[in-house]
Amino acid sequence: MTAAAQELAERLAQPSERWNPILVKEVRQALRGRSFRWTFIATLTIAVLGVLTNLADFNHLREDAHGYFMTVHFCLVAALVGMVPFGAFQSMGSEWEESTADLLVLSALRPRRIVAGKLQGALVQAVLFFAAFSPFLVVAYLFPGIDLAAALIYLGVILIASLCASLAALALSTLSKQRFVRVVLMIVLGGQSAWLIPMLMVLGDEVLRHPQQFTSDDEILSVYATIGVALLILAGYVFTLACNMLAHPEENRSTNTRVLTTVSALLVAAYALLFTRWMSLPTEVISVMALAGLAGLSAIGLLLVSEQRALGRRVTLSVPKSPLGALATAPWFPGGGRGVAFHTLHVVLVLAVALSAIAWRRPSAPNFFADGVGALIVAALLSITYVTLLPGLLARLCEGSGARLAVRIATPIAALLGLLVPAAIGAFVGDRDLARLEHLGNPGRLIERAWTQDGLPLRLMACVAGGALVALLVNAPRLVRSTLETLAAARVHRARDERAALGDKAGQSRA
Amino acid sequence: MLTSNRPGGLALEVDRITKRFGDFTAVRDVTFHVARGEVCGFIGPNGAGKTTTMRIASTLELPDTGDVLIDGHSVLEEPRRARLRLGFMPDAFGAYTATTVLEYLDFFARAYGLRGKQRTKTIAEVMDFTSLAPLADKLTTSLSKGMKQRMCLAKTLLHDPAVLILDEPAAGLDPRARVELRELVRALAEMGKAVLISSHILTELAEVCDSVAVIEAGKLMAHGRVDDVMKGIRPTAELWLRCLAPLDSVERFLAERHDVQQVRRDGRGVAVEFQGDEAALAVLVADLVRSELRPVEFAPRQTNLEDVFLQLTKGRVQ
Repeated sequence: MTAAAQELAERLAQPSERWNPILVKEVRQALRGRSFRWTFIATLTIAVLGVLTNLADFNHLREDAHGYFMTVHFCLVAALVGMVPFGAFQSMGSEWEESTADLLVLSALRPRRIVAGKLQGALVQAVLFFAAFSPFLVVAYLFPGIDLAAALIYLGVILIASLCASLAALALSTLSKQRFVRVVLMIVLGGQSAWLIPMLMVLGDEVLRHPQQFTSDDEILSVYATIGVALLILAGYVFTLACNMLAHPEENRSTNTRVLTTVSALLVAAYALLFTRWMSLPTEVISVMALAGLAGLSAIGLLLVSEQRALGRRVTLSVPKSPLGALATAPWFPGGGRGVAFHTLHVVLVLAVALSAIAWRRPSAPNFFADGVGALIVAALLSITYVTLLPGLLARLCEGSGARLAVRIATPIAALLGLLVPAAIGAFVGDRDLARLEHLGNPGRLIERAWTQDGLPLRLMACVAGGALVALLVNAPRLVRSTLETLAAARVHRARDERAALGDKAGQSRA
Repeated sequence: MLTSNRPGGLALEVDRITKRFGDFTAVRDVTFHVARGEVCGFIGPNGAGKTTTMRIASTLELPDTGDVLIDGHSVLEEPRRARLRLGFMPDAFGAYTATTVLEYLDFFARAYGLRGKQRTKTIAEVMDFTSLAPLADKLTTSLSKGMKQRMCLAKTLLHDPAVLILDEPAAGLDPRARVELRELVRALAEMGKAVLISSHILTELAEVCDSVAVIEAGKLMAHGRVDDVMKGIRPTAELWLRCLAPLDSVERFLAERHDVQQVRRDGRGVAVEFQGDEAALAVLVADLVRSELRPVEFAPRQTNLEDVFLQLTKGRVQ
């Protein structure tokens, strides 16, 4: 090695060995790049000017520092949920624009490390902003009118909001490489910031004006907890989306979404149980949460049941070798048919957990109608029908990406038409029930009626159940094909391992 | 650390790969291989399927049928292992803004999982090898095209791959940079690395390649050692001859010989398609000298890669 090379080696010896390489790169780039430096300086300058304006009326400030605090926080919020997410969006986009995406894919970095590294980079920038604003914040606490605990909670909320906004920005940035679409995505990101900044300001104002409410009120705390769980799950999906978009098209981009859905369903179930017990809430709350869960599951399910049919060549070799293992894990592997199995399985899971929870929470036998059990069953059947029927009928179209998108858009449109067309016909022929959306195509009304003391008439219940059965029958060929394909994949995997073992033996005997 | 791989054995095996994009078949049933220590030139007109083949071999695309083995690892079945044995330099690659050369290489070394002293040593060696050490603190965006190519090559070498796939590395380089790149490629081959290199600058390839694979309209037209491919497409030798005697009499003299296939006027002399070995050629020269044609210039014309390319390809695009 030459002396110059030796010198380089010494200079590179830095205490950042275990850090995510993306984080190291992002921080280096941000600190040297113009955009971060200028936004940092500009934000601080605006904050200083705001502070000086407040200090001009020092007598008022001595009595109530609320206005001062809000001025400083406006700048901080604008930086954290406006500029930091924008930086994250640009950073991810630069991987396409600077043609470095392929080089990253070929390295040992997996998509989740890339997204995590970018997110950590955004967090470091947020912390730098916090550090720069800390003198202003410390000064605010010296004045009256600021509750320290409430202010700290609020600062924590801002930091979490910044992280979530950055994660959303990263996911948005992975959606398209096309310049025009990226401009649209940037506008969406701007909309996110334009909504978040005033919302956080209003929240901050409320927190500072009524600090007791936000630090000791059980109901408010339960709202925090619920929002926290919802955000955690949403963040999980957004993170998975970003990872899937970064992953190579030939890689398995479905299993992580499916596993996340299973974990989320279990997490929500556990939370619902603890929540209703902690808050001593009526069992109807469990049904409402299960209905919300079914709605979320239906949205995810639509994406999964409209996936293309075949397992990719790379995915085939990740199917378990044993037929039993392959069958047991089949719903978590990519493919529309397996998506139908996955969706039906999870609908049943949500229903089972909700019914068990209701039974556990009630000392007496559950009231089929008052507890919303009937409504839950109707919702579960409707979810299977709405999510699987149309993709099942149009399964052949799901092989192409454009047609797949069309099927995904057509499904909710068909549901909407099912709701509105009978109403229009009713208005035309003078049928008041139809015109008032009192018909089978209105899932909300069906669920609502199933919740009432009278329940859903048997005739309607039979129609709902029949719809789900028809949807499953339509999908039966897909289910059979996908099961056979999974078993065939297990055989391929086994055969490959046997070939490899034979090759090893042959090599050893030659040696 | 750049290690010398033992020569011999196949490092890159492209086995009957076909790739379709909708109705369009970009690559059809292409098979070839590159041994350790061998530089294989991959040539073909624009749109012939070179980049698709290289991207398949680099795990970035998946073939519809067939497979590629990188140092024994299938790009289908073990893409991650294949990537660790593979260095791919795409035709369009990026250089991060606000990043120095040293930081760029440090980032990719970390991305390949190199840690601590091993990383610093490897970066230093790779920079030494590519003569980038004096540019360590330069911003990547301020580098010339040639220097950027060197930087990307250095990045490609960080994890000491057994197979290098270089897509148009000489495009846009000035003559000096091209010569330097050629020397680097030869040095890498001498270390035992298998190099698959595509370029439109065939004269450059001819000087660095041991073998050649010619592709057109997605089909492999020829593959083998450069000399073998040349002999395959042109079994006869071409000579150029100028005599002081009139061209008519020179043509008549040559046309009467059984080992001369064809004679045609070419400038002030004649071009001769000669079929025979070197002994027969010596006889021809002796006969010419004894004749009254008074030869003053006699030169065998070398078949080069350009001839191979023109002979094998028709400029068909898909």
